[in-house]
This record gives sequence, C-alpha cells and structure tokens, in this order.
Amino acid sequence: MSNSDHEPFSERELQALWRSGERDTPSGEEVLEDAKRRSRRLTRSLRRRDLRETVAGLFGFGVMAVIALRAPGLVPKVALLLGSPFLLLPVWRLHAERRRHRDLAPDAALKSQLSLELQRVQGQIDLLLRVARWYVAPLAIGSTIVVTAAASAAPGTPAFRIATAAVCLVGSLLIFGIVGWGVVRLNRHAVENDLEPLRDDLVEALETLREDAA
Amino acid sequence: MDPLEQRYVDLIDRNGPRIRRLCRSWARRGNEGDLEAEVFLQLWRALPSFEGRSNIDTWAYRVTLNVVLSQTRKERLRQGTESDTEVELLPGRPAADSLEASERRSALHAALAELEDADRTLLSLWLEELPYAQIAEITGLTTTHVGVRIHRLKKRLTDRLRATAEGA
Repeated sequence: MSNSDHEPFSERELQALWRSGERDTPSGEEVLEDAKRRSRRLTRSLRRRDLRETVAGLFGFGVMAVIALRAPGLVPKVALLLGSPFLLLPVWRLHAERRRHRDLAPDAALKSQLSLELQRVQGQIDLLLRVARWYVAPLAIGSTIVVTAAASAAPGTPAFRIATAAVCLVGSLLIFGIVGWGVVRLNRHAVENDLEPLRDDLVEALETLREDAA
Repeated sequence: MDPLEQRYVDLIDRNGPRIRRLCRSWARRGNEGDLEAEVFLQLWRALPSFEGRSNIDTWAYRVTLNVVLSQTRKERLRQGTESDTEVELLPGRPAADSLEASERRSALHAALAELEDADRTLLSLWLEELPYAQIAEITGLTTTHVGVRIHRLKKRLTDRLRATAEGA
C-alpha cells in the first residue's frame, strides 16, 4: 500500500468504503433453500421449453405422416420416407444447438468466458442468418415432396392427378416462400438488434483485456 | 444435509458478503436482489462440477463474475444505456455511518460504473483486497498484467474521485 491512510481517497479508505454499507444478510442455509427452490423451478422450465420445441418440430412431421399414410397407393409412403430426413433435420439441429450451449463452462476464467461467450453468440448469429438453409428449405422440400406425392395419388384421371400435383407443388412452394421470407426477416431483425450489439460488446471487452492494452 | 449442501452453505457463509458487494456494485437500482439470487442459483447448479483444480473461493468468484457480467451485459443491451447502474447505496446503512461517508461511497460506485467492464472487474477484486495472483487466476490474465493494470486503474480512480470532491 503506497498511499498514506490520511490522504483523501487513499487505498485503505477506498477498500473500507467498498466494504461499508452492509445490510443484514441471510445465512448459508437460507441461501441454500432459496437456491434449491429456484433450481427446481429452472429445471422444470427448461424441460418444458425443450419439450415444447421438440413437439413443435415433430408436429410438422406428424401432419405430413398423416397426409402420406391416408393417401392411397405406395407413392405417398415412399415420398414420406424420402422427405423424413428433411422434415426431421430442423428438429435435430435445434436439439444439437441446445446441447452445445449447455457445455459452456460457468467457472471459466473471465478472459476464457468472454471468448466462449463470443463463440456462442457468433454461432447463434451464423445459425440465424442461415435459417433459410437449415430450417426453411428442409421443411419446404420435405413437405412439398409428401404433399405433391399425396396429390398425385388422388383418385381421378391421370391428367387430373398431374394437375392436382402441379397445383400442390406450386402452392406448397409459394406458401413456404412467403413464410420463409417472414422467418428470415424476423431472424435478421433479431441478429441486428440483439446479437450483433452483444457480439460487439464482447469483442470490445476482450480487446480491453489484451496484454498490450495494460 | 448432504455433503454437497454442506459445502455450499460453508461457501456462502465464507463468501456471501463479498458476493453481495460485487452484485450490489454492478446491479441496476432495485435489481440487486435478483442479481444476487441468480448468482447464488448458478453457484448451486455449478457446484457439482467443481473439480477442485483451484481454490473453491477462487472458483466461486469466477462463477459470480461470469453471471454478473453476463447479466449486466444483457441488461445494458435491453435498456440501451451505458453503465446505468446503482450508484446510490442501499437502505439499511449503519447508524454510525456519516452522510459524508455515504457520499464518498456513492462517488466510489459512480466512478467504478464509468469504467469498462474488465477494468471495473479488476478494481472490484482489488477493493476486495484479493492478492494479484488470485485476481490473475480469476480473470485469466497474467499476474504482471494484473499488477500493471490495477496500478494504472487505481490512479485513474483516485484522480476521478478527487476531481469529484473538488468540484462538489
């Protein structure tokens, strides 16, 4: 300690000021009870969120499966088989992302934690900017295959079946095009308003920790 | 109480006041209880993964700072303001605490709130009187870097506080 104790804002005074103004604090047991209660609530809420996302993802697959299985003939069933990987890809991708985020070390040193968080945020940005590729396109391809195949198996003349299949193909692509455009816009908005400022903040924080910035 | 719970209680009894001081310094006004609760929750959830590679108190500081900085960053982006943190001390001051001391404490917190997150973290740990080696372990910087940086930050902080006092 280089400063004198009597000097205004000496090191000792600053450290004493920092420690002053204490309130009555709960005991370790009380804190433990509260932490356990909150932890149980958080676990339940995370499970519910995971379940909700998985069910929402599987719902699309379920709808396509019903359409294919109720349609006459073998073609819709084969189409469901071909379309399944596309329909299930987004569900798997979301699940994988959730698992990856859980691996962040809560006790990493500050510098490492900032790097890890930066990687996570950059990963999220990349994921959201490529949402058309891994979410919209696979769902569109899988659904279009199944719907078109089911329409082509409808009763009627071959010309009618071809016309129905063509209408379903165009309609499906049109619907997915519009919905996909909305999804892409929403994700881009989230990236620009939430994630990019967060990434810039993390980059700046890491920059200030560089050894030569001392 | 099982061994894990006992370990947690011992950890909180030993470090609770320090953790609360850090939270109080970083939290937005009226939000300090939430930040404290979040830190204590994350400490409880992370404790089973503590492998004993470092001192448990150092480990607790790391978890605390990671939660505090992450929450502060999110809050700041949500509010769109820079360092709008609590600079006035909380109610419940000891009776012997003079108004002047309270003002000086407010000035200290206000000066800290003006710093970059990393610098504020280093000074907070120094104010807790942690040795440079432990601060280095918590932040992932070298001990030399911590020493050089804290030396400069202390001067910056005292200059700022003296300027505030002279201007008052």
